[in-house]
Amino acid sequence: MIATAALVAAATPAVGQDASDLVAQSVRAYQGLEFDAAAGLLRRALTPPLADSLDAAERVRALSYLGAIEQLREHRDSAMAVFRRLVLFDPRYRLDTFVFPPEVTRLFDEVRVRTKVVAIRVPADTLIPLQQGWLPVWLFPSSPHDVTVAIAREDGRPLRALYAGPLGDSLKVRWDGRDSTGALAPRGRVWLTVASRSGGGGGATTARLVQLPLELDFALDTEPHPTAPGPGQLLPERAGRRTGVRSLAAGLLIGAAAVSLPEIVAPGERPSGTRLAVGGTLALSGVIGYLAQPPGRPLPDNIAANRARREEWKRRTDAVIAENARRQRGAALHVRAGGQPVAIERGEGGAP
Amino acid sequence: MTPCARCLGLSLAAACAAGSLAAQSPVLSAGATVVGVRAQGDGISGPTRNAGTVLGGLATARFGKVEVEGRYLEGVLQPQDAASSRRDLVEGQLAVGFHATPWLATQTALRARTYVMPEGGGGTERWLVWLLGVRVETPLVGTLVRGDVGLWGALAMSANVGSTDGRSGRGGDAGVTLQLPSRPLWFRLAYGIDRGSVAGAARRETVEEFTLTVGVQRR
Repeated sequence: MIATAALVAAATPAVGQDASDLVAQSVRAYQGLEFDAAAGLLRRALTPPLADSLDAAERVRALSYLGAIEQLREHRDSAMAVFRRLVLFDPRYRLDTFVFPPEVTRLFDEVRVRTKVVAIRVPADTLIPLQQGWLPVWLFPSSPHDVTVAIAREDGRPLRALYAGPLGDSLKVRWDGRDSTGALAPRGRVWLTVASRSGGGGGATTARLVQLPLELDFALDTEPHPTAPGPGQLLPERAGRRTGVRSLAAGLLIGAAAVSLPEIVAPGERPSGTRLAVGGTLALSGVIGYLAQPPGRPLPDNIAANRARREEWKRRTDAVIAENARRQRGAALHVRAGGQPVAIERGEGGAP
Repeated sequence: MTPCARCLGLSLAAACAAGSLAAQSPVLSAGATVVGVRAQGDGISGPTRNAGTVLGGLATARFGKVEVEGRYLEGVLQPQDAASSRRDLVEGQLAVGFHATPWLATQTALRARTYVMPEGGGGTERWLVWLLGVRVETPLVGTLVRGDVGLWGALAMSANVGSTDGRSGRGGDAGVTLQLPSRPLWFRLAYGIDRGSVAGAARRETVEEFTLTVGVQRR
């Protein structure tokens, strides 16, 4: 009695005691056959916020001992619930038969067989050449069962089916970064989904869906297409109301400037009459331009100039398209799988 | 001109040339030119009047917005009055232009003009001008006929007329160019006038040029 009280008092966590200490104390309590005290410590360690400080191995250890304790206390339903939680957390985990008694390991195996779930292993950061590379995905089931593996868009719509069939000890599937039509998957988030199916044949139903977020990006630096020539960059193809007037005004102005050059450059000098010939020719050209370009008349020179400009734009666009295609051939898919898998229950098959 | 203005001109030319010379297929042009020259000089020995027709040629290469032009003239100017004497004229110019817009261009050029006097007439007189100018160009009849006018001022000038004080120079020209459709031929009629003066030597030289050029262009 006194010994039990002392043990319980020792097992009571002090303020600030961390979850790892609690797990260690509970294991000692378990080994001392103080199951009630050990269960209390483990439940405390597995409850947030203390549970958040446990790493994966400590969490697995805590769940193993808690399930064993519940079974040994003849709380079978509680033990199954804890083991089920353990299987969902780490489908590859197996109880150590040297540590736990047969009635515990038997119950765990029973729960493991009934709980259909798959562990997914994907490289955290992968750069895959698009023409020859693959994203490897390793799948480890809690127990053999049928699965469907696929890639889904962020909104859940299917993108690409990767595998459908039995999953025994483990399975490696590969994804080339493309959708079911062969096109590159969109940038951003997609889901790697693994649906565990229970039952068999045509009556199989999806028991559980595990989704792993994948962030996709392309290590691809393409050039933008040249901007098409806009209205401001093309010459008018028909004479407007001002076209002729502009020619007339320009001819008269430049002609006047030619005549006035001696006054501007060499005032006081007696200029020759040749400037009048040039000034007159300029003015006459302006008049001809005015008369030759009535409103609405096609301007062949402008049409040809615009055609040349459009052809130049098309030539440059074709060059950019070719260059981008060349770069895409050497592009790589960058896959980041930093998120946690999300398990979604889909029916009675998953519940033990 | 001040050193600042010289630097400005040089920088402008260099920047313009560097900006668009690369990766451009040039438009080449060459022509033969006939120039009616009328030169009027004022100096200590009194006014001189000479005129004559000189011949020459020019070549132009345009790389996008940048244009490089070389020009050469040579001929004889006959005296127009009893106080003047016959002079041989040799003129060369190398210019770099930048077409900022389809209708506006800036140009800087180095122009050398030499008057070779007859023996006993004062030797050879050389005028060397570094100029900077602007030019406005516009179509008059579609792209068949174009008109242009330009003005320039001297950034620096050198003349062996006895003094270096008060040197200045400016000029301008206007012309009309006919580019034959579907043919590489073009014709140009132009009038130009420039004046260089050296106040320290009481010397002033005004030259008018009436130019007819026939050229070919190759893209």
